Amino acid sequence: MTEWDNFEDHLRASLRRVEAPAGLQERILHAARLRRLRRQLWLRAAAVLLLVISAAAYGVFWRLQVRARQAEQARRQLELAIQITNRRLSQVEQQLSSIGVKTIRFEEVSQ
Amino acid sequence: MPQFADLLREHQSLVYSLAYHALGDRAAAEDLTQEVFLALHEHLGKLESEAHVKAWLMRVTANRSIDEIRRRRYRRGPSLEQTSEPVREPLQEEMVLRDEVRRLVATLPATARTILILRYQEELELAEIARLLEVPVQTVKSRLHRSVNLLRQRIARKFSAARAGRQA
Amino acid sequence: MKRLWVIWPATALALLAQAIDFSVLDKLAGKAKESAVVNLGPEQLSLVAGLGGKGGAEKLGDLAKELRAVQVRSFEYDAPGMYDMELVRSFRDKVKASGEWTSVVSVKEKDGFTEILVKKGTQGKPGGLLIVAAEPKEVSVVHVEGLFDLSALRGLGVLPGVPSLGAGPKKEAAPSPAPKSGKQE
Repeated sequence: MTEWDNFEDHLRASLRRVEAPAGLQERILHAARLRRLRRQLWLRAAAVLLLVISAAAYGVFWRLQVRARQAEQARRQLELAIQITNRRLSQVEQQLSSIGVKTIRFEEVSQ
Repeated sequence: MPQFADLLREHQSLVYSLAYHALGDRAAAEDLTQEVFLALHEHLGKLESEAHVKAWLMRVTANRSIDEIRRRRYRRGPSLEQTSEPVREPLQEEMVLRDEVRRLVATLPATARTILILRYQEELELAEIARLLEVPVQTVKSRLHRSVNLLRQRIARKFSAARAGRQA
Repeated sequence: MKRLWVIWPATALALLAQAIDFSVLDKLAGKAKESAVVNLGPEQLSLVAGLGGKGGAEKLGDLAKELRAVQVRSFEYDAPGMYDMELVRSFRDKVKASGEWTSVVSVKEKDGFTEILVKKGTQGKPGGLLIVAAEPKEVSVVHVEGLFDLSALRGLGVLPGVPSLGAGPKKEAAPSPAPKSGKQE
């Protein structure tokens, strides 16, 4: 039997747990706190950015909506104008027809 | 589940010691310990119990140590010729022996080294080591056996030579 | 009292040199039981042109592309004499005096008149159309500016889903001696 037969005991003694150095715990806690703060800042920045993008997108959407409404309003008004125009033209045509005038040709006048 | 600060206080030595024995470098061990605990801070919500936390810490420390060893090529430890001063007292010899064992451990390949440390620092069973490192139990057994034999031979050779030198 | 007010800012039209000043006609609204006011400038007309669509909507869009301005004042009253017909006459006379407009139809009646004026254009198309129609209980003034095809406008006379406002079919009359007023073929 040699002194190395219980080599595993030597291994256990050599590899026994060593204590963490003083100050390591505080260093790690500080690093964790910093990381948490940084993440919160990033989240806030991301939230603000998202808000800005959403507001911009909504602004674009709102402007498109307004434009669509304006276009629709304009369309209705043009239709109204055409209705009134055609009614009056038809009235005049009937009046002229009653006195024997067949059609009105505007091309001759416009040249 | 205890708070992060309590878990840190409870397990920092476990993590630091594993890292220190694996890397042989106090500064590197401190850095790795901080890395592991910051990772724990991120994952704490997903861990269910303190036992789960301990196993998680050992697994992450072991894996990161293996990665770091491979990165730094810690296999190339000090040569066996670089010994400490001749010893005079039995207590001194014991201390020198421990240093030498640690130095020799640092020459082992990454996974074999980590298996050895988990076995002899934390007294884990082979099956537990296999689960942590996600390797077969047989692999753990064979590497452990080979590592212990190799270290025994080297240390025996070294100390015999040293004693022969003193007696001469 | 039913009223229909359609108001557009007149500022856009003020920028348009060819637009006729309709503000004098706004006084006619005072006692009207029903009103229709339209002020469409180039910007509004381009919105209509951009709407797209098929069938009647497409034709409307095509017409809108050719127009520069559309102004309408149309008022209905409960009884005769509720508006100043002289105001309408002087409006018509002022337009004619500008020299830009030619009267193509002038129908005089005992208690009213209708005049259709056309502005000189190009490419066989009029540059504008002005209708001034004054009746005892109704007055309409329509101004359409732009190079457009009148048949296209007439083709839109009946729009789907909109009740007809009295536009009747064209009547073919037998040839007869010269009429009291108006031009003929």
